[in-house]
Amino acid sequence: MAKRVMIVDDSMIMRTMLKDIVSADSELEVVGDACDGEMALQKVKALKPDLILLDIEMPKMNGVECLKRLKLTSPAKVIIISSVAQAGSKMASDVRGLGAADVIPKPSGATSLDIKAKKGHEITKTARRVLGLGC
Amino acid sequence: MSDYIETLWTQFIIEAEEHLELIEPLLVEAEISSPTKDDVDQLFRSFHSIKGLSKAMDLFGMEAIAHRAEDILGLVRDEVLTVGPDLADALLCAIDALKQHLKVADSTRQDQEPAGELKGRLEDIFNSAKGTVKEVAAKMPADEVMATPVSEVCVQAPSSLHPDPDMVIFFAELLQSNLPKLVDLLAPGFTIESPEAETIVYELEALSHAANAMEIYQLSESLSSILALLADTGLSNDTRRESLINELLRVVELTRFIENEIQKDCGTAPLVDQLRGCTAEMVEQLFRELAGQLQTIASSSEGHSLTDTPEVVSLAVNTAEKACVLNNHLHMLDGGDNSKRLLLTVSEVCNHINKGQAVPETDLIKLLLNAVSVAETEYRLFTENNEVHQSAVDWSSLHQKIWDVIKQQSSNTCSEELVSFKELAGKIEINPIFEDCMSMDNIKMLQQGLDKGEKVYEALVNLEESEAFTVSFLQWIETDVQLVTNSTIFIDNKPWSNCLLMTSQSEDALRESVKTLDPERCFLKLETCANIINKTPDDILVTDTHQSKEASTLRVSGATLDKFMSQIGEIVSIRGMLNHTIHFDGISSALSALKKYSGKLQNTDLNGEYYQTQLDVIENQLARFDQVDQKLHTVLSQLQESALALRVVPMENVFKRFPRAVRDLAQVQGKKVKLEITGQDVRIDKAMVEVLSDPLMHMIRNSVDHGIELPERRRAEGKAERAVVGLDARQQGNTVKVTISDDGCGIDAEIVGAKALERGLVNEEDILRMSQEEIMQFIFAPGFSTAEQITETSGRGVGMDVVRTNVIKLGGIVTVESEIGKGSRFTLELPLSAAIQDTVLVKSSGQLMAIPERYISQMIKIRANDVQPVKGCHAIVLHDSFLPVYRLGPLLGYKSTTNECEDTMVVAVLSDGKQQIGVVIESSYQRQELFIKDIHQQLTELPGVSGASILGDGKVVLILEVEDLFLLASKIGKTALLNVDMKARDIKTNRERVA
Repeated sequence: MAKRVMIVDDSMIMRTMLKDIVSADSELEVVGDACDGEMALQKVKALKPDLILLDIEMPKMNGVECLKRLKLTSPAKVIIISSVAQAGSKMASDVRGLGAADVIPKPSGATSLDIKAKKGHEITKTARRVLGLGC
Repeated sequence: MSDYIETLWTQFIIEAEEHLELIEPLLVEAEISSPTKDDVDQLFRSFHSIKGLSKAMDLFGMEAIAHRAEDILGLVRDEVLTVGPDLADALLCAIDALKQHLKVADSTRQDQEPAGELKGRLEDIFNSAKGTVKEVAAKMPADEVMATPVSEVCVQAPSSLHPDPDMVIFFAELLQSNLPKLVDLLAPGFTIESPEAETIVYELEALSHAANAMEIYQLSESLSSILALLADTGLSNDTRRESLINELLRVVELTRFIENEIQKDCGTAPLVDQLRGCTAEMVEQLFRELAGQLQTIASSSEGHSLTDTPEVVSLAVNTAEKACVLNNHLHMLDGGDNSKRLLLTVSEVCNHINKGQAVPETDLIKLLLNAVSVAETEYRLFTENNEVHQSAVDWSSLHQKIWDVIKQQSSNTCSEELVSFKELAGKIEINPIFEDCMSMDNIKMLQQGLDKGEKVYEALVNLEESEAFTVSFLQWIETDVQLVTNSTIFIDNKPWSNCLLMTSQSEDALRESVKTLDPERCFLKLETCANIINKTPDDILVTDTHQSKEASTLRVSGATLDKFMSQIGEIVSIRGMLNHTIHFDGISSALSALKKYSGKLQNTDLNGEYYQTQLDVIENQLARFDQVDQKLHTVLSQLQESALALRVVPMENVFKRFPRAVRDLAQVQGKKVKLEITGQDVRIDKAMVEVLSDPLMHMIRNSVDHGIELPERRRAEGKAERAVVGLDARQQGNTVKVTISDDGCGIDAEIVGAKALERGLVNEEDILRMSQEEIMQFIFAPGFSTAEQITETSGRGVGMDVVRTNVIKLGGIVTVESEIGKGSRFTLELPLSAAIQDTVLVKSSGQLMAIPERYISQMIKIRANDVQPVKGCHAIVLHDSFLPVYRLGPLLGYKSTTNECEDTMVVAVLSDGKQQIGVVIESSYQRQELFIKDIHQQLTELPGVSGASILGDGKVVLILEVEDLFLLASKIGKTALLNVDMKARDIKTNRERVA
């Protein structure tokens, strides 16, 4: 059965894009999304995801606060997708300390991605690794 | 694939525009007063989002601009920079540039290099501010520069529960929101099949998971046991309930630990309430047993010495324990302090009896029974009122009396011991539970330790679960700390040692060693005695328990909505046909004819009765059909109403463009203007937004341009330099009233009048009898302007005329009031929806048509010979002037079918405030509210037709465009130019006449 993925980002376009990239992998299924931390916490109850792709800069409740709460409310793995948490930054180590499985930047060049590029995308690869799906 | 990319582009444009629209007014505001923290956050987030979005769409030019702006706002957020007029202006320029990039991207899908000037300006701001950061940083020691993350700024004292204080708070919040839901578990008749069970199981699982994540394993286990109890179908309901109560008491107890630890409410109260109710019987039973046992002690010891009556000794032990259990229970359920103290007294005394330190004489037992009954009453009152009850019996005096009796009984050592302990207890407030088990040696030890400045702690230890822990604990109390005394208490049927410890170590060191001993905090729980830390109620953090509302929005394209609306209109029309069919006269007459016939058959052999019954069935079903139709009508009306509500949008959508426009215009003209907007929440039809936007913009520009004076002049006139332009919207019944007011120089009616004369809009004779208000209406005349100069924005005299035309087209009216030197106020009154219009149905040339009611100033009946030929066309005399009249059908190009010789005719007088004509219609007409449907483009090319609608009987009716009728009329002959004083007000009053 495909692993359940939830996407949390305040930008609809980002959600669309992430969904498109992740859905290219047949073993990953996007089961829902949320546009801020509060909504994510509410939806996680019903969606029961295995993996959450989480943005940091969001209105109402930001990703860091959401992550702390998610740790209590959901067994899902969390990958932070944000340009705020660049590799090696303090924010990146902070969120890892809070239990994020990995931190990767936002995707670029949405208009030029083909199916192959999506499958080999860093996000897909990271998701597979975090969920233990093998490469 | 390309569809997907198209979708992305559309979404990108919408989202980026939304962000820009959201933050632009914030920046305009920021030029005047510095923005709030929330605003800065929003600005940062929006630029951040635009940056990310642009990057995703390969628009690196936009990304670069947004990135710089984000960086700058990052510095503002970190309080390195403040937003002043200059910075706000730079950011507004960035927004303009982003808008322009967005426009190019929208049409060409191409990236653009950002303008070098803007880029340079933003970079300069950023770099110079960044410089100050470095300077500041250089002065600070390196480790302080590593700023703590935002979340840790509001420092919470680290808790022994978890190293991250935030996590503790979240856990408390989770408990607070989820625990109260568990009360349903105790609802009568609750089983796993109950409808609420699913939620409860979910909450339990969530809490258990969270407790596990917090490494509070006992709580997690307890919650899991509740889940197991629910799932265990082998249990009888009563047994399950009893076990549930016990587990929940345990949950409450453990949560209390957490509440104490973090000084925060974790939502135990509702559960406690429920548990009190459920255990009331059990508590009552315990109280009864307690009293019974005391009586037994009294009666069996009467006349005997204690050594002769071993059963009394064991009974006393049992009674002491029972009082303790009861006290524990009351403690968990917040049973009121008086009850608990009295029970503890009873327990203590029983222990004394057991040890031979007190004699169960009648006097003493009476007092004890009294104490038990007071405790019970107190508890009951407490639970009933849920507040501390002002005891009729003074607890301390009863307590005192009991101990007085015991003191009298025993003369020597024990009273000394008691007194000593009391003295000690007075100093450091030790848990009274230790009082029983304190020997004289213990007291001396404690006294000495205290004199040396050692500190006293109370620790709850479980020595039965883990051997490794027990060994290390025993080692610990022999080396690091001193054990004064201990007593065993039962928590959840497991024995725990309650130890009184004394140590010279600092509290931190002690807590550290406790952590090493029991890293998972399952076996050892340390509490400080009250003499060391005095926590005042002020320390308790009050948290906001705001419930988050899920505000989910759905974005639907306008076209989809229009389609939806027209489909609903379709249903409404079809329902109209249904209704028409049901009430079609033919049916009832056919039925009654048949009935008559079957009545005749009644007494024949032709089975008339049978037909009669069959006809009754039809009649009944027809009546039912009617009922169903009525129901359908009700539901459809509601549906229509909700659908209309979908079309309305907040006025904000119209208003949001204005702050920026006012700011720009004021800046260009060197004026200082503040735009005060109220009523953004008022909702209007989506279709109105598009039509209303331009006229309002025009009027606001007019206000700034003509109304507002330059700052010097305002100062000279004693006005505030910063002028106020007010924009207000409010809903009044079915209309929306929009006012644009300013505190500028006002409009001079004399100048208006003079200009009107000059332009030949009115003759001198007329103007003399016109009121100021009436003269003011000239500003709406075509080509009228009082401005001395033509400026970039206004003064060309095309504005207000267009405003009025648009407003009337929407079915509204516009009025103006003004006072010289004080300012002006324009008021627009508009209907809520443009999709539903009041019309008058008319017939001409056999064709049914609808005229929008707002154009009809009156309906008159005339005689055929009232019509006179005047200058080549037909006219009648109305209000002392000629009104050209036309037959409606021929005017629209239909063949005339009416009888030329008819005596009387009905004339609808049509007016748009500037000109008027009369159209002759066939005599029948009626008012009708119509849902306007767009018609096919080929049909709109028909002259005089603007739309169509469907009537209840399914007939299509064309809706006329009155402006077109004027055009058609002017081609044939003439329209009567109206004096401007025949203005909208007349239309309105006349409209009532029509009604």
